[in-house]
Amino acid sequence: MKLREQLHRNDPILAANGNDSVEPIVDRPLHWFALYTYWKTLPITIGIVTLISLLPGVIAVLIVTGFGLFYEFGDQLPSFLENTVLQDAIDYELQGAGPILDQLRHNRYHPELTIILILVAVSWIVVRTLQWKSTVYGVDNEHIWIQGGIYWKWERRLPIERVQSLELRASWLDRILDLRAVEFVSASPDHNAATIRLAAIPTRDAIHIQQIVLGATHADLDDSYGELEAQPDRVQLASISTAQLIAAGITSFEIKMSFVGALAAFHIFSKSYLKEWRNDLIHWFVNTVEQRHAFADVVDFTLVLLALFWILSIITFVATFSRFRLERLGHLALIEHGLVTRRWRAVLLPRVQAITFLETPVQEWRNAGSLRMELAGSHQNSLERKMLLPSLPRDQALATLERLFGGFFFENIAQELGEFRHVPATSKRMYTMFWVYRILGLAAVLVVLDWASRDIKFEHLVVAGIALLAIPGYFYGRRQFKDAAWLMNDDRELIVRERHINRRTIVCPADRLQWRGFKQMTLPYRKPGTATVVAFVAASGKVDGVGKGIIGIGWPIIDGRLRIRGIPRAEADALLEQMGPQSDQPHYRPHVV
Amino acid sequence: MSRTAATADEQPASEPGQDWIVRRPGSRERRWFRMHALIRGLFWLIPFAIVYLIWVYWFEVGFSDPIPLAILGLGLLLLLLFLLWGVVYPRKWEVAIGPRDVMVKRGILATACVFVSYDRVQQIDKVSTPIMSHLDLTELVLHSAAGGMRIYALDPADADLIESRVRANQPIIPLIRQ
Repeated sequence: MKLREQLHRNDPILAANGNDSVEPIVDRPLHWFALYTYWKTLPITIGIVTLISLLPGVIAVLIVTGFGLFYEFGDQLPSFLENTVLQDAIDYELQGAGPILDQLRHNRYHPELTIILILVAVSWIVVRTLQWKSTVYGVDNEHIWIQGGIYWKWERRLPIERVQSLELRASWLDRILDLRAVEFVSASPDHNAATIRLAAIPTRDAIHIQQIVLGATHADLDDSYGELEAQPDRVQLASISTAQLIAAGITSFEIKMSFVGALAAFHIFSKSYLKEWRNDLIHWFVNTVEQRHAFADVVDFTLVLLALFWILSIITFVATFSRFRLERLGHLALIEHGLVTRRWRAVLLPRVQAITFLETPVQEWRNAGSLRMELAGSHQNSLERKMLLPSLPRDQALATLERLFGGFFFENIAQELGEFRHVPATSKRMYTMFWVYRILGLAAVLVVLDWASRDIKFEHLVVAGIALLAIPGYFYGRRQFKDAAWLMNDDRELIVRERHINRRTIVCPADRLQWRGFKQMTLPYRKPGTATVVAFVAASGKVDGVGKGIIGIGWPIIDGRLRIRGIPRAEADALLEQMGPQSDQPHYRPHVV
Repeated sequence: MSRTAATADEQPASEPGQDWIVRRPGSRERRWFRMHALIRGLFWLIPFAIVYLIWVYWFEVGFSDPIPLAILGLGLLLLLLFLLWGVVYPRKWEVAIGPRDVMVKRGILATACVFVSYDRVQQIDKVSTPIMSHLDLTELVLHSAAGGMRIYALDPADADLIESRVRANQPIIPLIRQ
């Protein structure tokens, strides 16, 4: 069997939506291959198992730690390593690693150190193996749970009614072994705490789990979603070509290279003539930075680096969303994509908080766009979870949206987009001068610094160049003004269009808004300015990492934001009134988070 | 908060109406804002003071050397800005407790107004610092599924009112099905 056939043979059928009861899974142990995920966190040498899947550069690090301790630079290596790329790698690392390795080389053999390292490694493997052995999972029509622990028992339990989406995932290795990773996602903004991820589940079991979970979600949905359920047949809604994907990925920097990827890339360039290129480049850059007046070279270098990352970003985007398919089955959107790692997602449509129609400049030119869904708990770095359609001609994309929600939401959306209310002409100045004021302000600060300080001197050309950026800033503002629009339709769906680099139209039922507000400049002795109305849906997520510590209560990010800048205060008030709870509505409005 | 009657006539829609309870800072709340600003300013002054002292001792320069003095000056400027914030900020600070939402209006040069509906509140944090306890005030943090809202210097009775309205607007979710 060819490798290609081998990789594709196990593509599972997407979720069945039958109401037949499926046997629950109770306290099932993990598959032997799940040990991979347990062992790969081995703290010594980043993990033995991980190295299998990582790139040659990291293997070079292992060789250095394994052999470099015992062999000086130029010494005789074992015969199987002599005159190989690996010898080059060892020589290179030993030359470059500096005083720490010098120290190690001079005290070349430490049996006690070796014994300690081996003991730590073995005990870690034993502990992780016992943890793997003690972990069990289960799925029934009420909960998904995973529990384990050797001495300290732990359990994570997720009620079915809180599941936002379900994903099966398979890397190329998983596909060869006929395995899937299964991920259940809840609405918590803390992705790590919100997700239950079962690694290395045999495909048959994974589909079984999917059937239990998706079958159980029927009972939890409100009666009002019956319209979606009325069409139980699987309907293929879209598939995307590679050219369309490239157009969508052209301004996508959302999928970034990981640190390990960058490290591996660095080491790939440590072979033969590539190593010389890499070193020459690094030396050139360091020397250039040292020369104070070589600003243009530094700019060139930065541009080349950005271009490289841009191309890599497009390639990653295309690989991630390659072979994309979207189907609907009752209340489920079934999404399938990925070239290397293949993903099968089942999204509960009533859980979708808002839909974003995004047009990159290239897509705009080609009259196309992509659709993203805002799900509670999704965040800025979860593009794979949010993507609904990477790229389709505009009309088709909007028609697909209407068909996907079967008239329950977003009915006549294409027609309504033509009925937008635009920002009044009096706000044009606010938009156009936004960047002009800031850019000229920065240039003015630089001029003042240059004039006032004896030590700080700027290249006048650079300051002039910065000031000239005000011209594209003006046109960018003008374009933003032209694109800014909104509409609250009869179904109380709020549609807001806004431009950054991409044009973004977000559609959201008003009852799904979590909070709303406005901002208005009120300078003393001046007439109050126009208002900016802002509202957020649950998909806004929170700042993770350091930001989370500083901003304790969380800071919504722009993904789930609806913002209308520069409208009169009276209009802002009326809009806020419509966005809030209405007097004829019950005191508790379901919002299916 | 000092109790102020809502002015219902000719109110814009986003302004609290007749059935809203509007609170603007009274003397107690203003005092809290000033003390809060002073403490924050002093807190941020500490690193500047440390750098000032380290600079003086490390480089063996006088206490009146312009560079360490400029560093300390920056810290004092920051303290002054905080104090200014403490005096000016409460002037536009307003909390309105409505039948379905709670509203906070704030800002100095730009006024921001945020509405959170009670049925969208996922969690409430009640904070009480020693100064707040001394002034018989409390602070509420309302968390929604998309960030939250902080309500400073609230009368405990008002905090209880907001809490009870949030509770009254929550659905009853059975944790485990019978």
